[in-house]
Amino acid sequence: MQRSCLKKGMMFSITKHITLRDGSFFLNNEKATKIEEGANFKEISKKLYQSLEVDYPKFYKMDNLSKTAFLSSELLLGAHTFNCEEEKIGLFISNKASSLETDEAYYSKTFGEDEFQANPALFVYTLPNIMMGELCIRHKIKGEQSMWVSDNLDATFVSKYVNLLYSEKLIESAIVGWIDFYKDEPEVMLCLVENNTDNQAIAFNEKNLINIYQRLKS
Amino acid sequence: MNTISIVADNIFSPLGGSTASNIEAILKGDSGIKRHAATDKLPFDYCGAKISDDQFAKASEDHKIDSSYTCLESMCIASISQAINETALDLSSSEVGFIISTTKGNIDLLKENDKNIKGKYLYHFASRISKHFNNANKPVVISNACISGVLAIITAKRLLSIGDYKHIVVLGADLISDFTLSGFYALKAMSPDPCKPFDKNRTGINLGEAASCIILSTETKSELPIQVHGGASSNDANHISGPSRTGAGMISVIKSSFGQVEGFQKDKIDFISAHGTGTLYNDEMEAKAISNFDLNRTPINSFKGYFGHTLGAAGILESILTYHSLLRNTLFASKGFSESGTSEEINVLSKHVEKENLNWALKTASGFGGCNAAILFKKRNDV
Amino acid sequence: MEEIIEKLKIQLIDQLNLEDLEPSDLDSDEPLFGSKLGLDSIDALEIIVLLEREHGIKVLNQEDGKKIFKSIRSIAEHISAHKV
Repeated sequence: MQRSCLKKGMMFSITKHITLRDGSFFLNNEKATKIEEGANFKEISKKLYQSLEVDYPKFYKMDNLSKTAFLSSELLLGAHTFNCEEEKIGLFISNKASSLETDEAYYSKTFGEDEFQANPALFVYTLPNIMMGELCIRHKIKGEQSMWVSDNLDATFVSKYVNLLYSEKLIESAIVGWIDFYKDEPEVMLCLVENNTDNQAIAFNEKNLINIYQRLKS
Repeated sequence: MNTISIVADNIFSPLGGSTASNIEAILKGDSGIKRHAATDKLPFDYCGAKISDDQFAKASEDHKIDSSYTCLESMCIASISQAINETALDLSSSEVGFIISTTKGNIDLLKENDKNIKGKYLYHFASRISKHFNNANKPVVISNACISGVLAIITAKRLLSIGDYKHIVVLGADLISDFTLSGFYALKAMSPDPCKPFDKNRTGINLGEAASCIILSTETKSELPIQVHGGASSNDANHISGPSRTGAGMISVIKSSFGQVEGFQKDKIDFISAHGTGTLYNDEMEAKAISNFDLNRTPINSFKGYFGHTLGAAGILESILTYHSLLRNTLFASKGFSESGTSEEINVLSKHVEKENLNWALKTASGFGGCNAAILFKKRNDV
Repeated sequence: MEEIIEKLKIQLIDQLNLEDLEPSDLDSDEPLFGSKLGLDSIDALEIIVLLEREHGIKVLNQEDGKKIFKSIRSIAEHISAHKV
C-alpha cells in the first residue's frame, strides 16, 4: 500500500514551473535553456533533444506538438520523482490550436498529391491529447486528466477544477498548463503542482496561475 | 456534493432527431450504418453512419438555423434546441454553462485551405454554439479523443458541485469525414462490414456522426429521474493508440467511480454500457476489465452497432441510451453480436430484454492516447 | 538481394523516423520487432505503406505483415519475389 502524502500543514502548491518565451525556456523565472537556431522546428527540436542527453528514440516519431510537450516536461521534471502513486498524478493541459498543425500536415499529405496516401504514424497525432499520452508514457502518469481547448488559458476554470480534484483526494500531484504549436510557433507554460510544506511555495490558485501564464504572453 | 440530476437530453443521429425517435429505431433493430462505395477521394469501401442531407435541411428549417452555420454547428444547435423544447430553461442565463466535447470539430473546413481559418479552431466552433443561445459564459471545450463525451459529463458534474452554475449543457458532436475515414483506414482499424462489438468475428470499427446533448442540473425536480454518480478518468501510460492489454487504466476508472459512492457494492450494477468499438484489442481489454470486478454475468452491450463510433458524441449519446434503459427497464441488444469473442466471457446482450428493477448502470469509454473514463447512472426511486 | 536490402534500410530509416541511425546500424537478419529498435504496431503499418508506395506491393493485413516483417532480409526477399 502506497503512503498517502496528505499530512497536516501541506498545501497544494506550484513547486516548479516552466515557460517558453523569446527563444528560451525559463525554469522558475530563471533562464534555463536557450533554443538553438535551426531551419525548422524539426532541426531546432532535434538539437534540444540531443542536448538533454536522454535516450528516447521515440521522440523522433512525434509530431511538433508532442515534441514540444516532451521537451518541456523533460526540462520541467528533470530527475523528479513523484511522491505519490502513479494513479494519483493528474495531467491537465489546454491549448488554442488543438492538433491543427498536424491535422493540416496530414490532410495535405493524404489528399494533396494525385494519389491518396494515408500515413498511420501521422494520423495518430491528429488529436491534441496524444501529447498527453506521450507524457504519461514517459513519466508514468496514470491519474485524472483532461485536454481543454480555449483561446487563452482559462485560469479560473482550470484552478477550480484541479483544486476540486485535489480536495476530493482524486489527485495528489499534477502537471497543469498550456502547450500549443501552430504555424511553427510553440507556446509552453507548465506547472508541477504537489503537496508541499515549504512556506515559500506558490499556492496553486487562479491568481498565481495567471501570473505565470501572463509571462508567456508578455 | 449536491446530487446531480438530468433535466433533458437529445440525440441527433442518422436514426432521428430526438431521443425518442432514436430509441424507437433501436427497438426496431434499425441501424444508421450503411455501406458506402469507394470514390476517387477515398479509394476504399467502408461502412459508416451518415446523416442525410435531407435530415440536415429539415433540422435547419425546423430550428431556424441560418446557412452561416456549418454542418456540424447546425446539428449541434438542432440537438440543443430539441432538448430544451420541453423545458422552461433559459440558456442565456448566467447560471447556465456549456461543455462541448469534440475530437475534430469543423474538420471538413480543412479542404478550404486558408479560408475560414477561425472556423477550424475548436473554441471558435464551441463559442458559436453557446452564443447562438445568447449565453455569455465561456464554454469549456474537451478534446480528449474517444473519452471526450464521458469526460464532459464528469466535468459537468464536477463543475456543478463547485457551485458556479446551476445547469450545464453537455454537448458532444463529430462529423464523419474524409479525414477520419482515411486515418482509421490507414490504421487498418475499420471493418469493411457492419461492426460486431465483442463478437468472435469482429474486424474493426465503423465511424458515425451525431450530435448529442444532456442538460445536467443541481435541481432535483426533473422529468428524468436519473442521478449521475462517480466519474473518473485515467491513462494506461502504455501506448498512444492501443489500449493496455491488461485493462489497467479501465480498471482504475471503474474502481474510482465505485469508490466515490459511499457503501457502493459492485453487484448493484444492473447493466454495463461498454465502449465496445468492435476492434480486437479494445473489446478484449474491456472484457478483461469487467472480469476484474467479477461482473461477467452483468448484462453488457455496445451501442456502436446502431450508430458506429461517433467519437466526440459517443460518450454522451451512449450515456443517454444507458440511463433510458434504466428508466424503461429495457436492456437493448448489442447489435452485431452473435458469438462471444473475448478471452474473458462476459454477458453480451444478443437481443432486447425487458427487466424489472434496473437501477444502476456503468458507462465506460477509452480512447487514443491511452485514456479511459467511467461514470455511473442511477434511477431515482423516490418519484 | 544485398542492393535491395541496402536501399530498404535507407527507406526504413526515413519512413520510421529512425533519426539517430545509419544503414550500417541496422542488422539485416535481426528480428525487427521485439528488438532494441523498439518498433511497434504503428511502425508495422508504416512498413505496409512503404511497401505499397515504393515497391507496389500490397500487404492486406497485419497478420500477413507479421510473417513478412521478421527481419529486413525477409522483407527484401518478399519484395524480390513480388516485384511489380
